[in-house]
Amino acid sequence: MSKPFTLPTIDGETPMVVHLAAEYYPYARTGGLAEAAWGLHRDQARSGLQTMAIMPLYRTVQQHLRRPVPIGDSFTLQFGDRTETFRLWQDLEPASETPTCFIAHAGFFDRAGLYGEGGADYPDNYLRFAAFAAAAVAALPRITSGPVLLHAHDWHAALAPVYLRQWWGGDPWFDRIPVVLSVHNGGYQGHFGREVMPEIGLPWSLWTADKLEWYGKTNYLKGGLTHCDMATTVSPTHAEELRTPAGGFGLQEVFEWMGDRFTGVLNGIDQDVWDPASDTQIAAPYSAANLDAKQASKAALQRHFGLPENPFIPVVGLVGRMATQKGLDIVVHNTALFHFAAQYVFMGSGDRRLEQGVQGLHHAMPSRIGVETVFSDALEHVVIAGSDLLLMPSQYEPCGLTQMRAQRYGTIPVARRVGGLADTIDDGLTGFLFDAFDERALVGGMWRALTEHRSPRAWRQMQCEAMSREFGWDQAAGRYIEIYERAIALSDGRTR
Amino acid sequence: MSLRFVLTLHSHLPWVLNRERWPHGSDWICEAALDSYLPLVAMLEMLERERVMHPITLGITPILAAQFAHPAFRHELDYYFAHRLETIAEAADSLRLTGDTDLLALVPYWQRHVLRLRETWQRIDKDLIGAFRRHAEGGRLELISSGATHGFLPLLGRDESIRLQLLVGRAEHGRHFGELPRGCWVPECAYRPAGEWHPLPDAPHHDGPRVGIEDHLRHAGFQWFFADSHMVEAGEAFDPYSNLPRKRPATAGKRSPYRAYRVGNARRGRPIDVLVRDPVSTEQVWSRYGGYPGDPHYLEFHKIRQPGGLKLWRVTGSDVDLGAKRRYEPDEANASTVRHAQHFQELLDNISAGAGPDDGIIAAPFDTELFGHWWFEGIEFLQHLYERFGSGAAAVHALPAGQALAEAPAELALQLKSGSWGKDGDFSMWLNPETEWTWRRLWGIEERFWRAVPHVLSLGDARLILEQAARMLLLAQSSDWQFIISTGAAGDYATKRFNEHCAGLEALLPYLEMPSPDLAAGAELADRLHAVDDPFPELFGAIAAASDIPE
Repeated sequence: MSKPFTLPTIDGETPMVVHLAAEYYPYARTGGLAEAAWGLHRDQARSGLQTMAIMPLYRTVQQHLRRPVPIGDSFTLQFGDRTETFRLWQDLEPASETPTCFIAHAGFFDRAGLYGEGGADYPDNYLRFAAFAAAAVAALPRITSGPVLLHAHDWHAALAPVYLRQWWGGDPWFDRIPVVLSVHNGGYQGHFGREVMPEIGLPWSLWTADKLEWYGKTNYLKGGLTHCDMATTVSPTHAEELRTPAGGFGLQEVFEWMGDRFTGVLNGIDQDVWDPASDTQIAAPYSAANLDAKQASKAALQRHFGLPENPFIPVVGLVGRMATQKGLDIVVHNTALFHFAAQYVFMGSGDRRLEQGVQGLHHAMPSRIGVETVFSDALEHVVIAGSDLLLMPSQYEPCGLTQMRAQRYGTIPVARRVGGLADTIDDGLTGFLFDAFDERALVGGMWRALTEHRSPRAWRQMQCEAMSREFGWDQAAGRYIEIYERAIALSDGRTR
Repeated sequence: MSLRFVLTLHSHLPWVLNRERWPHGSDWICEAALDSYLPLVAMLEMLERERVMHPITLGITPILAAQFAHPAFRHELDYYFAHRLETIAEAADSLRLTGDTDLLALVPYWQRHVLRLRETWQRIDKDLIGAFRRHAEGGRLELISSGATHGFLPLLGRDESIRLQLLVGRAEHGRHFGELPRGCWVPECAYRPAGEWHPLPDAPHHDGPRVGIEDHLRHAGFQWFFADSHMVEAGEAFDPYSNLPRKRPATAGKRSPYRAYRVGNARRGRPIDVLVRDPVSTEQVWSRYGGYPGDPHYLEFHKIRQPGGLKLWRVTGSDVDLGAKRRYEPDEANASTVRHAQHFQELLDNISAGAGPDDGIIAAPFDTELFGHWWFEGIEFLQHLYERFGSGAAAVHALPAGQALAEAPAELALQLKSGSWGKDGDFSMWLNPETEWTWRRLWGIEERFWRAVPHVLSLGDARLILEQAARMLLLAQSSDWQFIISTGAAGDYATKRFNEHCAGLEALLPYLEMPSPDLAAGAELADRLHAVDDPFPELFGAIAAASDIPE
């Protein structure tokens, strides 16, 4: 049971927390954003806050809706010389713990993909997500007549505070809305040509170095950061990284300028779904008290990937997007890594070049390396439960969820000391961290882990320590309450 | 609540196999095996038979373990046994010839003694590793490790070198004994905290402060280590090797030595604890003046009968010169060990009775070789001590270090002071005008080695050259070379050995540094060096892990 939370009032009433996100579980998901926004929302709702989420009504969302009903009539917004019509929907059934509304616009969102198709982004994404942000703000009075605290996630929703202040500024109800912006992945900022400014209905007066302009482009995330009250990212270490030239993705000066209005809060995981003692998707349940039963999951994993069933050889799992950011480049060509007596299991999809790289490894060492280039939730459970080690050699990792799930399953992460990995893995205690982003450092980290694995007592102790770690949303939700309080206070000061 | 007593024996010898035997060389390890390691095994077996628990924390340095496991050691010790028995057999005639017939009775004593040890050696299948491992698996020993070759960590020029010593040290221990150790015998108890590093004006430059030794211990996976009492301001510096009596009795410091402390205050990662050497109980054993080994009935170490190499006399008195030493009487010596075991146990009980409410542990670390080798009757003393513990005579509880720490965990964090358990409590035994040149040479090759590593690790073909180079670096880093040079005895041997290892590395380095090395020639050289110096079979992963230093 989540701890009850209370928020300060706005004009005598407790505000509703409204999350704006381009992805939201279970309706649309390509990465960690959907689950993070949903997880936080769910914990807040369970803690007694009045909450709502707003997301685009993509084609993929429609399959999840049972009894969709519109909220009010269609409404129009003017973007330059374009008039766009939107409608707000919600699903009445099943009653959700996390009430969600959908912004419908057939032209923008009723498409096969969320962001693009065939490996290419939609060319009008600048307009689609500007429109989503503006329409979501416009829809707020249809959701509640009481006060609202807006919590926007990532660049897709980052223009919401810009529209809020620019289009609705001067309206006392809108002026009282505090805005928090969460940066889940600072590497994606939504930057487009300068020419989009009139098309998205924003004046040139905002195209300045202290607002939306960024190296001659229009940067949505920068717009959000310069217009919100508080901003967060998904781990304390990543918050520090974003303030540095090496880790700020060109926005370090903005993060630095925000001072203590920008902070890091670790995401949580759903510990009910990720619990080896009750997981029905794995070969046999297990817990820290009967870790021997994890062996059944290991055997099942080896069978699934066509690897020899051997309880003694360590199995190293690598799960997730096959992308440069995830460090696949220092894995695929790392001959020293494959000198270790271990089996490797790769599961995930992404960059064609990297997918081919791991397939090549499989063909060269079929009895040592298994590959599945289609990501599935069910198989993620199988890989995490069945592996001894989980490899996360990320170039950067704002938060990361897999390493938390792995620890709950007694699967020891070997990861780079960046972002959320540094904040959630205790080096030498619940996993192994390495520093440099190169093949040598990865081999060093893996060697330390495999050395530990050869020592049954030490390994068991490490597994138990990892499994005892708490990664639920409670702590994050509590930190967000503090951030919301600060945002409300800042908003108070602004409108007084 | 009575205190816990943690007896720790630290066993170490530098790499002496595949080289000379006598006077300096493999005879060192054979002598230590006969004097200390095999008698220790025999004692453990006897206590096991008598069902007496003997919780000892036993440190075996990785370089010593590598020698125990080496086929050359088995061969050397077999030869040494045969030679010893041969010379003992000849001793009787020699004594008759010189008219020393009153000493004849000791010849069969030594014969029986060596034969019993040879039986032990054969009973354990000439496998000291296996013997100690069996006792550890039975919960009667806690095994701990150390730096790979007992490198003097605070004076190593590169953090990568410190990491390599500790990473290899822990992993090699796991390879030999089946489980990774929690405890580390930090070589010479030598520690320095985080800070600027300028041991000599021309030492390599570091931008900013270097991290403390505890960070490297944590990275390698160790959980606790030992420090001398002055390093936690719990007593005066100690010199176990001093031939001089202490000028005044050990005095108390501002902190208690009878508790473990947490070192540093790292926000994350495994905490590192330190156990403090108890100045009182350890001095009782270490000291030649007033300590047990100086008892008149114990075997005189320095007087040896040649030919035959037999020790036949007793200490007789501290002021008695070698010519006036009297015949050794084993039964009288044994009676002294019984008396001393009782005295030591009562001393521990007295310490415990006077301890403060937050005190929990009496830690008494010694060199293993003190027992049996330097103090011939030391092993018997230990046996009687554990028999007393087993009989319930003692108020203190003997426990292995890990269990004592679990029962009396460190609660107070402190910043340990720089120091060692050597002369004057500082680094001067290892860094002084006689040894400065060794450090300059070592720092230079450290720099070259670690500069080459990132490039070489990406060249799979250079792996064997790199590993042999690392072996030579580790062997050159043994603290023994500087220690022996400083003591003046066998200094030529230590100098020669240090120079040989440095030269081996210097010969290999060009193959690691050149942009297009002749790898075949490098591999041939590495092979040649490996034929002599071949401890630590796998070093590649440890080199990679050691070289990953945070910016």
